[in-house]
Amino acid sequence: MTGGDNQLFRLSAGGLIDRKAALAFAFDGMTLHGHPGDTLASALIANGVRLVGRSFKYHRPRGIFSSGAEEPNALVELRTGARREPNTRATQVELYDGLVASSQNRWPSLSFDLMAINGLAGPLISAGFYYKTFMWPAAFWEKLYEPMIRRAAGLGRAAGVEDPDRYEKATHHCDVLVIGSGPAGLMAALTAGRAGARVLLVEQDFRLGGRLLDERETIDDASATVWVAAVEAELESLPDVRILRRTTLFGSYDQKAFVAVERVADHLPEPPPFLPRQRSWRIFSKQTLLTAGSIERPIVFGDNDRPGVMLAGAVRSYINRQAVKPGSRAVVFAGNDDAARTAADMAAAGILVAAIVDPRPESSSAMQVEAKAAGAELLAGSVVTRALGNKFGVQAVEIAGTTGARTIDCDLVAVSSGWNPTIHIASHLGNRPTWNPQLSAFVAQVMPEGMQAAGAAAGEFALAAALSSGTARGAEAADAVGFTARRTAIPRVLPEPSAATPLWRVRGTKGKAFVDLQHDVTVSDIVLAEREGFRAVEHLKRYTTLGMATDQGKTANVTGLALMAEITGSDISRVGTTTFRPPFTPVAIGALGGHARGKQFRPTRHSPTHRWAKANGAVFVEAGHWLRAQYFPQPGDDWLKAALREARAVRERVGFCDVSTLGKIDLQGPDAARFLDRLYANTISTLAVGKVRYGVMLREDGFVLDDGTVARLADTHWLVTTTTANAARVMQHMEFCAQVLWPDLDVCFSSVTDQWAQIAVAGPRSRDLLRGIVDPACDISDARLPYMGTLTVTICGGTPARLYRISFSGELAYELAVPARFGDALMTAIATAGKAFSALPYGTEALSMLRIEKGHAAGSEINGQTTARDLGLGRMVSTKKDFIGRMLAQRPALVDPARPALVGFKPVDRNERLSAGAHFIDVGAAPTTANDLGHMTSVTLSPVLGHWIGLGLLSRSRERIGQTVVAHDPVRGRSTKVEICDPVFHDPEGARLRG
Amino acid sequence: MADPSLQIQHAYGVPLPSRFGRQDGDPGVRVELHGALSICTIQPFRGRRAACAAALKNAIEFDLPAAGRSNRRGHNMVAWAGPGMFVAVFADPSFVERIREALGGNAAIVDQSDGKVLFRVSGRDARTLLEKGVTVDLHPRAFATGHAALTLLSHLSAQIIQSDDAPAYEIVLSRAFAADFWHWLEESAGEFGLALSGNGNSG
Repeated sequence: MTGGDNQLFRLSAGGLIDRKAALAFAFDGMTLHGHPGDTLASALIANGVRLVGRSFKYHRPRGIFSSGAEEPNALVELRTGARREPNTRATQVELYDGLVASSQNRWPSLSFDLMAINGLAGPLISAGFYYKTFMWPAAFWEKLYEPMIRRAAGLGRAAGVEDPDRYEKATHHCDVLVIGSGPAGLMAALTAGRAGARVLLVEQDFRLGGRLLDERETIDDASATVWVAAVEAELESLPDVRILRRTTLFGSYDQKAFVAVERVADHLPEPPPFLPRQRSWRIFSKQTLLTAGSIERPIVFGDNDRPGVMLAGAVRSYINRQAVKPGSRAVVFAGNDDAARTAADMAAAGILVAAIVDPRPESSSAMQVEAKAAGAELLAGSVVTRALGNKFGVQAVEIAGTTGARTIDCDLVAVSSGWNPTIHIASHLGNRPTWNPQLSAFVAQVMPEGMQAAGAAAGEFALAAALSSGTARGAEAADAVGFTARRTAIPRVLPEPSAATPLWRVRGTKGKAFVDLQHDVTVSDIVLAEREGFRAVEHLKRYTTLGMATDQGKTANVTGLALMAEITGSDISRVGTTTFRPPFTPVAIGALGGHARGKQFRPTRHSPTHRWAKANGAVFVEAGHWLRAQYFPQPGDDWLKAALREARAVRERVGFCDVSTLGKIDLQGPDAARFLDRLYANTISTLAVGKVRYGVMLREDGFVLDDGTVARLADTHWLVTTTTANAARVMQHMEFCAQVLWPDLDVCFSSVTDQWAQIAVAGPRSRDLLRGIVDPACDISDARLPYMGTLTVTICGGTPARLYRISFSGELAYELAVPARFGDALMTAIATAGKAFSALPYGTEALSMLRIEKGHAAGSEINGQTTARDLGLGRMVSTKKDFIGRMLAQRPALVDPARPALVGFKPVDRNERLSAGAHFIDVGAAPTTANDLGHMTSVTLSPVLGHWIGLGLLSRSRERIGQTVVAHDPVRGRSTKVEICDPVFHDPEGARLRG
Repeated sequence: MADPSLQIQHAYGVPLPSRFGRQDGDPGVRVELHGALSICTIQPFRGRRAACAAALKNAIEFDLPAAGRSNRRGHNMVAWAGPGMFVAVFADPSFVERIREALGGNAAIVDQSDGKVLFRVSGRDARTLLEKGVTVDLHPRAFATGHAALTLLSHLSAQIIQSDDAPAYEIVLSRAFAADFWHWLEESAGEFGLALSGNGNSG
């Protein structure tokens, strides 16, 4: 960046900035300079930039209004490209060298904005405008109104491309959480920390001190910043005190849980290597002190949104903290003595104070003294009615009152109507704030358990009160968690005048009088809402959008409520407040997601043969959390060609497939057999040792939960398998049964899914292949290991393994299980031994083809809505014992003969393709829901038959075998005549299984 | 389980020993991944806990730990692993069989030598690192040497045991999650510098 350092509005001395270092930054393409310690807002002020944005609805020119999180106007797009971040508050953006920001919500440029015509059309877009105008016709909403509104309105633009930065999440536990590091927070943290409590001090700013950084206070006869530095150093020295700077605690939740976001690298052009941009913190605290300070309230008057109208406390902050002048000639408009110091600070900074306008008839002695010292005219009993000026800001104010009407030239109007305690965090759990008439503010009278407020957040605005309440609450918090806190001496401070009378708005003004600057809600919008019956605060909010958008009405809500009270002639305490919800300030979704994005959105489980499959060119598919080999393509293959080749290898020769991902549960104990009988719909206890049985389990409601095999390894030792997708669900179900339903049964179980690599070897040559793997001493003949048997064996020269003779493909087939460490090696060994038989590995696609040919139900059929009977497993269901789901499976609807049940389908024209999801209707019937007879669940091109086949659930299917129905697929636009057939397409006698 | 022909492959997705993250200075986090450990779960049958405890003491001189605790000698340990469940981790591969012989009939013993992986996490930033993964309070006033917890690490089920006062921790999780654990570790420990060692790394 080029361009000279031209900070005309920087004071020659003072401020918490490093004048020796210059930081270059760009705003709307202009190169400007600031210093470390600046925010973007203070640096813009230093360079005389007054116009920083356009308003949301009317596109009115806006300037910097505040100096903190409450900023409604100065929202900018920070950074460029993939790192562009809209709606960042210039008042909170810490300046860094190379910062690039641009104004938003303007077109084509900030100073010449075509959309500002909306301001002239003002009456058309008053409160409720969208609701009234865009109701009819409905089709216009999507096509016309919404795109138009989206273009016209909206705040900044999202980057639109993937965020290149990392985010992470962390957890912190503490005894005492202190939210905010102003005078009350520092005393609280120090008192609790000295007592030995684990203290977490959270500060949203990059510097500790809160308002002490913004004012010219003295503590113990020295500048308050000296005291802050000493406290900070002591806190840093305490081993169990932790300070999180640049961290906004944005939400309070049940069980004393809080969430905060730490801007780890937002103050840098990009995050340094190995650091995240932001880190979200889950915080669990036993005691919490809300020392979040307060937010100043403006006064509403005509054209009060012009650049140069600024909160009085913000004016002091810019002068004192960053040594910049927000203007040259000022008017102070405030009804509280706190504003007297504004005049004093401005005068000290060389700003000419033209007048102090005090609505109080008599003003106060403090104001008189300060006005005199500042050389300002004190206009008591007066108000500012309107700000005059152009798009670059205010040039004069019109004043009315006991001293008569006049116009005073100025480029800065410092306004204050008192302060609102920042009680959002105390209200997130649903506690409604209470109106305190002495303070003229809402306070958190009913606090969440374990939380106390101190300092300005508790309405204790004076420094002495903040220091003393921080000490007291800090000590109480430490005591409450078992420490003995010493009540340390309160530091010495000077007395402050504090008289105040809030003035919410000036009546009878010309021009728009803004209540909510960010959402362009004016006094007349609130009047209109009341007139149209939207008087309840929640209705007022939604009708006018008061308090919505990124600032959530931090400078607007209370004023809006006061106005509604005034208009309806009720008391503000009865009007109440809208609901406070997290987050306190906007939070990037990335910070909440942490590492869990992209592939890391959920866990991925890798099977013990993953490496082998990857090396052999597998295409993977997600099955539950697992990655499974879907098929092994050769050059030029699509999935279908590859899967057909693999399935044919199984039918004709032999294939092998990783089935390690199926759930495996080891079950032991004297009552294991009884447990399994109750768990499964079929009888398990009669199974002999060394045998395997297919089992089906139901949910309590009678529908099928899962299916799998049960092997009896020893008298009281069983191994249960589940489907890949349902493994966790079945384990959970078993835990529930064991712990809640049958705590009397002595049974232990644990998942052994990860312990074993299990490979299916299937096809007529499978036994021949296995003879090359299993050690010769182990007999695996049909006599020794018949269908549905299991044996322990050794393989490849001594590795212990377990061999199951089970088949999902309908062929002679085995599953061989070895400890997971040998999974990859076993795949290699099988591939090597299989060469002689032209064996092929197969994936889940071929697996599916083979099971459809055999009519086996899988995930598409066991879909949570089918009964054992629906799936053709009705005869397995025992009538001799009780089991989960038995009673409810007998409900009339579940045994209705018209229920769709599993059956097979072939296209009448064998060249036609079938599609899963197609609905069955009678030939000639209209494709309507009333004529729906069921649907096709699974289809495949049959490797054996050479044409498409399908499984489906069809009403009265068994009676209709041989008939023809239409499979209607409106999604793909196909209507296919299909012949209803037995679901077993291949080897219905099962001769091949037993070969 | 020595085997002449089948080669051992460790859990997928953990690289070979190396230095990761920031390269300057001492690594703040040291992580060792040990393969070939002997790991099993012990679940005493109803009313057999005392018998199991006595048999275990007799066979390998270990007590069954209380809930949330572990007992240790060097790298050998028996830790609480949930209601009615303990996990034993031993360097000697014969231990699962020794435990099975000692407790046979009194408890379900399930070999998990291949089902679980164990990472030893130490170094000056070990606790700070784990703050980014687990929500368990690991401050010494809340979690000390010998303590054991079942929790989520990032989004993975894990068991965490503090093995010494340094502090060092052992993290036991399912083998199939090793690659995801490594992803979390590399992302989270980079700022401290990470030294990865051990003999269970797969590359």
